[in-house]
Amino acid sequence: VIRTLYAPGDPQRYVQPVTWTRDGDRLLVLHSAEDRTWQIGFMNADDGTLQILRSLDWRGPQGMDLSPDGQWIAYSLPREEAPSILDVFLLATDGSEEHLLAGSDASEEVVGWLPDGGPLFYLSDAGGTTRLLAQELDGARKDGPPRVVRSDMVHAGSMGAFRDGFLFGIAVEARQTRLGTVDLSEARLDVPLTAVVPARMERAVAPEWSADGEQLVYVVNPPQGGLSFPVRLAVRSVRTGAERRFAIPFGYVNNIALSPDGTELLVQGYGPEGQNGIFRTPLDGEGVEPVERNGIDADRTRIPYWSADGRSAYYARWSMEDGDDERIVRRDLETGELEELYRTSRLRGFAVSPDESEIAVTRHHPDAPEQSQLLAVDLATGTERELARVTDPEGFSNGSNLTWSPDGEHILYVQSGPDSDGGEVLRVVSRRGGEPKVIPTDQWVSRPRLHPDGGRLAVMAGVNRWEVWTLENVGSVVEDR
Amino acid sequence: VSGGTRRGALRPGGAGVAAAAGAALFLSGAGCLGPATEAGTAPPGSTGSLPARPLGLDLYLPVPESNPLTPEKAALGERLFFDPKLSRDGTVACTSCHLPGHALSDTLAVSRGVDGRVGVRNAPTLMNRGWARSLFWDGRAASLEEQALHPIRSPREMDLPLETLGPRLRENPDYVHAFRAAFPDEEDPVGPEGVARALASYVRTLQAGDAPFDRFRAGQRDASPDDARRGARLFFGRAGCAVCHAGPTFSDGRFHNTGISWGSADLGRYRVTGADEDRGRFRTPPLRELTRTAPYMHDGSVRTLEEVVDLYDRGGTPNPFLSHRLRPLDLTEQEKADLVAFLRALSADPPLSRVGERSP
Repeated sequence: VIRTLYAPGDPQRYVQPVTWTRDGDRLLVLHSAEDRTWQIGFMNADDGTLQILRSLDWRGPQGMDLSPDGQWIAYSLPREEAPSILDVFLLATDGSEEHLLAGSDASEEVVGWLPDGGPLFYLSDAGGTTRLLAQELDGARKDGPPRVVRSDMVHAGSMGAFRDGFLFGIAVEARQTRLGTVDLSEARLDVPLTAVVPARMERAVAPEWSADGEQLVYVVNPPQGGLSFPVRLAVRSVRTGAERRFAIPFGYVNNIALSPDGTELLVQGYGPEGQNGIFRTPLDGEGVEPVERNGIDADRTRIPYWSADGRSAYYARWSMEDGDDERIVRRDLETGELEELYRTSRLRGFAVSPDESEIAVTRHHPDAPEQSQLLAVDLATGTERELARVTDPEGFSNGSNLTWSPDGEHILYVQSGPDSDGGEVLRVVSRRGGEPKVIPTDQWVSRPRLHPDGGRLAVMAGVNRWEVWTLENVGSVVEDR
Repeated sequence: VSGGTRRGALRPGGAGVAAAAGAALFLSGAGCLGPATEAGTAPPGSTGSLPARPLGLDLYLPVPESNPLTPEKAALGERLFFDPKLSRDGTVACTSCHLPGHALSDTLAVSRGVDGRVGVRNAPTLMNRGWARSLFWDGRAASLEEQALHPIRSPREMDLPLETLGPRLRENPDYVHAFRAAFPDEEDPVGPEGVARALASYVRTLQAGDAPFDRFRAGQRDASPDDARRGARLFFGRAGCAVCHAGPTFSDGRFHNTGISWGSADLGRYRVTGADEDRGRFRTPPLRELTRTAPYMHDGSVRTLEEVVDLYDRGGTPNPFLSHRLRPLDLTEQEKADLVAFLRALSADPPLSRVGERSP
């Protein structure tokens, strides 16, 4: 039997259940409000009534648990002025008080309590390693300093407690940014794909090369995935491999595009105030400006690109009144002027040619519902040339899954579905037409990006694979010490 | 443990505050977003019940540990709030500019103090200020306790030297008794600090919620008319209002330059920080009870909600420090009307005729 407890009818509102109260009457939940700020509350398990205890802002708690006696909620929250740092708070379940429990310069994330009570466990990265700490409490007050349970923890997502320990989900493999070298004319990888960061530690997504080829930029997500405010951005030197990290004030990022001068990004995602849309931000995240905010299920923007002169943004734009149609537009970033370049039904993705004279478009075939097409569209004349056709309405991967070679002669794209052995296969086709070729890889791929030298390839590849680990005898260890 | 705040269990009972102080907010509804109107639950060991919250507000209300919220303090604070003795010439009370019936805001563009002296800013509503991150339009006070004495000593407002406050109040034995009841552990609480703590306690009890939009989001689908619902979609979506007007009080508590009064001598937050980027920035006002708090903006220069929406539709008033969040919205007349309808749906209905008291 399934009962619907909560159906707000508003796409911006939803709840994330955290845990049950011990009596089973209520659920501790995180609620996303209409303005996309987060709230901590209880949901009545009978009728779905939501009681909000504490409203936060766009920084969502990371790690939360309810004490076994039902008196306290422990949660970690990114610090406002330094959102990479998490602090631990204790909130009374009757809303009567709140205390900062751990607020050092280290990041401290709640794991939770064991079912029979005892100390609150949390992870702390103070001292350069991730340690599991146990903090005895007297009410909301510390009862002595925290004790170290283990000092060699890896980044892991807490999955709850059992009688004498905790479950953790640990990523051992991930779909993430990998680097290789490709020969487009021969349609083969000369250097196999290798990950830029170890999956166990973090996930590098949405790779972008700088126009001068000196840098590779990508978003670094926590290995367990999910929302992570702020979004972490890595800028890697192609020559030395040295990395600079930035925190940009976004709650979630779907897509990025690096400006031609390498100093700014166009970001599609949830901006610093919870608004979804396309934003313009310097690499350090200081001074985010909206390019276009999305409406609530009425307008949507996606797949941003810069113009070569850095003065305009190309992106796909859908409005409710357009029905199945989606427009590809160019917005002047100085004047805000919007120009429609192309309009088609059921767009999958697009990419702008290096000379900005054409766009490559993937879409459902408008007249053959079981097929989809890859087209080159001349922006001056609107002339369309079909470059590939697939017998699958979703045969081309959605989003930013195609790119032009730097010389504008080839289009590299990802094809999925039955024609691709059920996976996502990298293919290349000449802009002049001809038979598309498969570029064999040993992993499924998405979001290919070619280095300006035309050979080096950054691509999302691989599968997500997790292991569930238990950390046992935690209570005994604490008692022994 | 540091940084803790308490809501403070009301002793000997939340409902007593309403009876004693005439502030009925503790009776005014639910502390939940759901349709039920249940009160907060007292924690084990608590000697009194906790106050309920109007629908739409957090159950958690930050209260400094140094000034727990008690019925006695709130009652004393209310009495002081309405007493003109707190001004130099005995003619101006806090309520002279924070009017009951107008959600404790002023109907004048800028308020008037003793001797008819004209202030420089509009007196904002005091509803829900217990959740404020900072006080005053420029945020110069970090807490209600810090804020409370500013108007009393301000030459443009009540102009009373603080050193005269204690002696003046001690002249009235009833006040001495009320201060002792409010601060039973203190030897001589009659003075500026006691006044500040009592006024802050009273202001924490001023809570506005239970608006049609609250009932709509709690599941009462007919609580909000169609135009207000369309306005809500604009407010939270394309118009981007919720970028600053966020959370249960519809304010992010931060400071933004919208260009209002640009060119005047009032540079807002800049006066506090001296930072160039703060020129012309003022605190985001909360939006509850808007139908009762006209005129609007820090200088009271905007008379109607329609004018407010027009202002933002134009993208604010151009100036070198205009917030990058503002840009022309190109709203249709219908969309503007929908936004106004939504803003109206943020006021309690039936209205609060006086602080926390509902109309018959």
